[in-house]
Amino acid sequence: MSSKTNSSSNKIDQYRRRLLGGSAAAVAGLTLAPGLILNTVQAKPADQAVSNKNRWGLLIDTKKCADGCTDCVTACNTEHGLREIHGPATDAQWIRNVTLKNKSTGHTVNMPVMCQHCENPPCVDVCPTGASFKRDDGIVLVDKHICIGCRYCMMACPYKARNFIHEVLTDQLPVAPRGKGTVEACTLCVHKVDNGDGTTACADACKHGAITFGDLNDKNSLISKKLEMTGGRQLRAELGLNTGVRYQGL
Amino acid sequence: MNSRQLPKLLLTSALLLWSIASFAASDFSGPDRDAGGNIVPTPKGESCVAPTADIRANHMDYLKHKRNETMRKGIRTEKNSLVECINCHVTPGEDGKVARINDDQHFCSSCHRVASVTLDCFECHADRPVEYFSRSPAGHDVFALNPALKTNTPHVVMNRKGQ
Repeated sequence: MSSKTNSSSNKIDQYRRRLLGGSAAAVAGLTLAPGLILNTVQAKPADQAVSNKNRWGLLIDTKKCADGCTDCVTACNTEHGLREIHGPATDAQWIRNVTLKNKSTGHTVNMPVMCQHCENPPCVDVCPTGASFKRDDGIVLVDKHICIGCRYCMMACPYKARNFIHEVLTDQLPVAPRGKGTVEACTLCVHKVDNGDGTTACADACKHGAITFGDLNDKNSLISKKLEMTGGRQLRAELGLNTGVRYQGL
Repeated sequence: MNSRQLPKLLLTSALLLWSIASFAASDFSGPDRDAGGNIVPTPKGESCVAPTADIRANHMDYLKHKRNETMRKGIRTEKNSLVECINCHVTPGEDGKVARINDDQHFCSSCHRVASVTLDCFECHADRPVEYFSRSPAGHDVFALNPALKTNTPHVVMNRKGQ
């Protein structure tokens, strides 16, 4: 009897701890379906290094992605201070709106394409200075302090995800240092990830719910559950890059 | 040493002593001054993360160490972070405006100009505190500098073509 009482009070304590702990750590909860509630993304203490326990990624449902909608692109530009300089031909685009058309059926698919945050990133392989690198949690970044602007990574990337900055920039945002002569791409909103926000600017802005951010290593995360239930494809999966960004409805 | 050289030597040593004394005085009393003796903006906080002499001598190493920790490992503590240095040290001047990096009064450039050190941090990094950048409460449609705070540069809101 006493042991039974103990175990039930332990459970209550656990519950309380979880509830109280929620205020310290950012916990995003979401009801996916009746009886399926998902809690994801715990804030990492600021003094702790990222680890390969997490693998951050995105799941993009192209069926929900509306034709002509550019909310994710605008949100990304806003978040990182990307502004028009000389037009789309040379301006940085961290997210590209891509439309695929099946020539035989005429069926078109809209989707945002950004850095796919590969597990085996070709951009990192070819970088001569070590500027292009992958964090332990799977986010692929450019160390602009040592980037020499050679643009090998832009050639190597199968997704055309990287951009070269041709012009002197001013008024960059504190969260997104950017400058002339360096290469840049989607950072998977690394500043938000480190802050424990549990979302990216694009996922946050998508009113159609087409973009899901989450931890691919966490089997209980929303993104993993969605992948488990409805699947998701990699772009150019044959390259074996194991991308962190997955697509549905292609 | 002949008698002609003695006055020269005395004068030189007197000048040297005077410059050391005046440097020491500027270092330890009165408002914060840069290497040229100009008054630099008063920081917000009560004390820096390390003694002034230490920061003056080693700030570049601290910043570089911190930058690698932050970028490569995602360690985002406030100490020695460039953003936090700016948040605290770049404060409005008497005219209520916050100096930009090209102004003599900017905390960083005031000293680097005198020391003749080229500073390229701010070709990419923000030269003003985080509070000078705001987001419209409605969401992501507008990016602008915080209108509530005075700034001395116009800011243009631009969107990609067709948006």
